[in-house]
Amino acid sequence: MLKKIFKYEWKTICPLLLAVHGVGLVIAVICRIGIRLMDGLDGNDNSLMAILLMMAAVMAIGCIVAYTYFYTGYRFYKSVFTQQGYLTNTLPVTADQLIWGKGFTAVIWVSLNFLWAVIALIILIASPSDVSEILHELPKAIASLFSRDTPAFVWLAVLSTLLTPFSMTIQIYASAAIGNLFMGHKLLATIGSFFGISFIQQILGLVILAICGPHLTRITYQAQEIEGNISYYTPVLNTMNLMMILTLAFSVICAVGFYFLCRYVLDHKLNLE
Amino acid sequence: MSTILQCENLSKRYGARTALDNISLKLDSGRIIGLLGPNGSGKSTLIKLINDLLSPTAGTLLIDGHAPGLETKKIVSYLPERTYLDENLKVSSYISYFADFYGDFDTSRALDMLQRLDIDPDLRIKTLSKGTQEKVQLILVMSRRARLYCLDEPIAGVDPAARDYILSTIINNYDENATILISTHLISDVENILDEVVFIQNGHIRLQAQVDDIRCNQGNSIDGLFREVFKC
Amino acid sequence: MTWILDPSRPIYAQIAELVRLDIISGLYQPGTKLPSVRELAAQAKVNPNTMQKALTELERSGLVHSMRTSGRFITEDIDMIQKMKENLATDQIRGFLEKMSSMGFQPQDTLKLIEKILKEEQS
Repeated sequence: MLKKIFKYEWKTICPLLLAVHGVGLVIAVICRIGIRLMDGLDGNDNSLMAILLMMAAVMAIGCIVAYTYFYTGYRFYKSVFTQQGYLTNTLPVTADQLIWGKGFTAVIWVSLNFLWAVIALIILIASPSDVSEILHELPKAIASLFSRDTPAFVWLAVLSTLLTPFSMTIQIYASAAIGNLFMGHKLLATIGSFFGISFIQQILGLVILAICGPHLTRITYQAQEIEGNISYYTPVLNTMNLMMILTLAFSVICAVGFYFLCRYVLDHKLNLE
Repeated sequence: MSTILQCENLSKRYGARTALDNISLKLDSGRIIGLLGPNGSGKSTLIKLINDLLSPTAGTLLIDGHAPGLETKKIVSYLPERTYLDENLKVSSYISYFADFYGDFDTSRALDMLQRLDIDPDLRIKTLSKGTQEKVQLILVMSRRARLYCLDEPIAGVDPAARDYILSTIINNYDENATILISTHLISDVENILDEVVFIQNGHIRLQAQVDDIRCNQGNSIDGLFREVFKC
Repeated sequence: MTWILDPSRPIYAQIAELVRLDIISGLYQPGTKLPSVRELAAQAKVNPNTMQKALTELERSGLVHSMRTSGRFITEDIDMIQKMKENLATDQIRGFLEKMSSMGFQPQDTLKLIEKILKEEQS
């Protein structure tokens, strides 16, 4: 059933997102050509027009990135909490299967979206030498990730990047679930919930860091003194590792919380129009 | 005859408002049952509880011995008051959707009914008229070989020809072991196809009876009795 | 055939009456097979359970008998059909006479009136 949910959701969301991203790439190419014709960027004659054009293109890419987030959330909202929910919620599937099945499509698209934005920006601004440099450096960067002296926080950063699409998706879904509880203007309430949640998360994150920060520094210095090897570099690194772990743990806890919130609403608090 | 649906002391409150107040009800298999009551009497609430779209505030509800959930969704076919079809999809997408998710869906029956109505399965939902969309939804719901069908106001706001089509679709697809629960306030239109009626008012069950008993004992039509019971 | 049903009387009884009338009038010939319950129910726009009950009623009266696998057949007993036809006609005439008497017509007056009307129609 999980596979079937995924299959139909994938089929439903792909056409529009493919079209939007395709159009985005075309815009990037056209703007690049336009800028080149104005002798901007590589011709080093960066006129006001060329700069404006580039800004417009970057904004278009940004809009498409934001739209992808919005659309994956909108699809969940629409299929579960509007009239379509009368069918979705009476399918012989569990709330877990619904969240995971639909969530995977969103996670995939949010990840693709990120890669797409990188490619679109490369098309827009990178010179051929930049591209060859990137292609040359990328394998090295990946290889160095696996070398022994890579600080742990780099790995943690990579891990948190990989987890971002998941936490993003479940946060969007949780917002839709909260929006569903309102009597009217549910879509607006969903969007409001999303920004509300983000804001509270930021504040909480800052508070936690403010409380734990000094302790973290003390812990690392103490560990340092025990080892007796005093340098300025290592304690900073250790503090960063611990902070990274803390941030990661915080977002994982949030994501798990969002997941259970979604499940609870789907099981007990549906409020279909 | 086995019991398909059983409620005991079932209540549903929305905040301060009580939609269903401590009702107890037992429905048998193999019957066409009318759930009759004025607007806002609790008909839709009961049907949503059966379909696990709402959770009871108190009491129990069992469908074929199971509380609403995964198992009951496999055997309950539900036609909501509103159409739920996604405008951008094709009719054929819904056929395969239902066939994929519901083990009891009969694809050939659905295609046959579409063909009789001259509906091309390759059309998108948005190209169909509102009335045709409702018929497509009814065809999907009635093409399942379910144990319990819940039809919420299937004939509200349709013209007489469409109403005849809907009623004959219900009769033609009815299987002797299944139960059909039809909620409506348009009683004279459906009373000839009913075996049994449940009158509901302000969240209370006012009456549950066999239609022939009402006709024999009271010499009254269901519509006539309804007007007496719910006299303003 | 149109099925006009009165919702204030049991539907199955009315259907049994209508089918009986079709048998007596010869629409369904003796010894032939009746349509299935499902088909009849769809025609009459009633629930198959109701149609089943109506046919069971007819079986009880002997007008219809069921063969376990092949369906329901009209009786071949023509005498019986004839007798039912007469009974039904008798009932109708009795009812008619009662109405006439309530209007103040004695039976012989009614008969004279009938003969007069028949003569007029023939001419």
